[in-house]
Amino acid sequence: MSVPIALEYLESHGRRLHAIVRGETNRPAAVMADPFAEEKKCAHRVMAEAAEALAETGVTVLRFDYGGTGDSEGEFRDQTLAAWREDLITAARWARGELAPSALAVVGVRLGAVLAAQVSPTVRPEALVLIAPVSDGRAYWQENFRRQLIKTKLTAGDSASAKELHAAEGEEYFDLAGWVVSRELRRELQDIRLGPREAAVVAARRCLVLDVAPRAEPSAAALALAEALPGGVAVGIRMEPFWQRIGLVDATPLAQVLCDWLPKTLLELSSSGT
Amino acid sequence: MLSDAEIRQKIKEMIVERLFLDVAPADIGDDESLPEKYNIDSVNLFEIVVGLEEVFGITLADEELSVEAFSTVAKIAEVVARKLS
Repeated sequence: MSVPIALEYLESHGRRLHAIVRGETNRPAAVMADPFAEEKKCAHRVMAEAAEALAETGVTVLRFDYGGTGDSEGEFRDQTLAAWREDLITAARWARGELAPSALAVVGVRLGAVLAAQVSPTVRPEALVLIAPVSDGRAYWQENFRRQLIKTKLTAGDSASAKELHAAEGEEYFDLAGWVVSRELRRELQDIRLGPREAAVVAARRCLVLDVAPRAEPSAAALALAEALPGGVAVGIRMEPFWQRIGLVDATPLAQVLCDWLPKTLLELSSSGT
Repeated sequence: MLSDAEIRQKIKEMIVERLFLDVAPADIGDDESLPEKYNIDSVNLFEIVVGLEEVFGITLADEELSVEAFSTVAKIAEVVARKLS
């Protein structure tokens, strides 16, 4: 099946966002929300392949770059999570208006999953897919910091000091593996929480939490989150953390779960109305 | 209290699982260089650190993250044994 592909530029608060649409109008549709910084770069190919597979099932997929990332306008160092939430709202509204979908899903990966959950009361998607969502912002920042520290030690040797890196972390701007993160963005990242309590405000009719891990069973945290989400279900996928891998990762396990769940769910929600 | 052999075995199992290596845990030599034999990069090393914390219930301080100390299973086992004691 040949799926039409269109390049679009979305206007979001005075800046142009680069977007790609795979599929046709008047179909079920999904907007994808990417992860953060290096994770976005690493996840790009897997998410592009998953989008292609979804489009083959008849779900029209919109992928876009947040401001200051990819081919969208803006500098990364000027970005905030508030601005990226606005970008995601813009993309979802554009999809509602221009694609006229019978039902709309937002599919978020890592930070994108958090943003998708946060904007759901505004966007009101019929379905929400949260892939390996970031649940604790402080732990997430620490994880990014440690990865940076290990990388520094691998390149500069063990003499590279954690203290020096911590000192740099306290500056107005911090270079996180080439991504210049402002103090404001860092604070916003550290404030992230996505657990059963935050799930109470999520607005969607069906939710899927995808746990991507070395084992195929969903974790206790994923199960608890899914239980608190409207129409929530958790599924585990045995797959490498593709948002951390620079090399080739087989996208099939993720694409398969998305293609099994999303078209069927969106069709059900289309026919059942509101 | 875990013996040295048990610690090494758990480390090997964790590495194979978390890094999706296509080898049996027992096939990893105690003194084999992990970076050279298994192309361990910064991402893999981070996975090992997180895996150690989960499997053994220990916390590694940023200052303890050393490429040299995580270069072989035997050296990693020394770090774990020290933390557990």
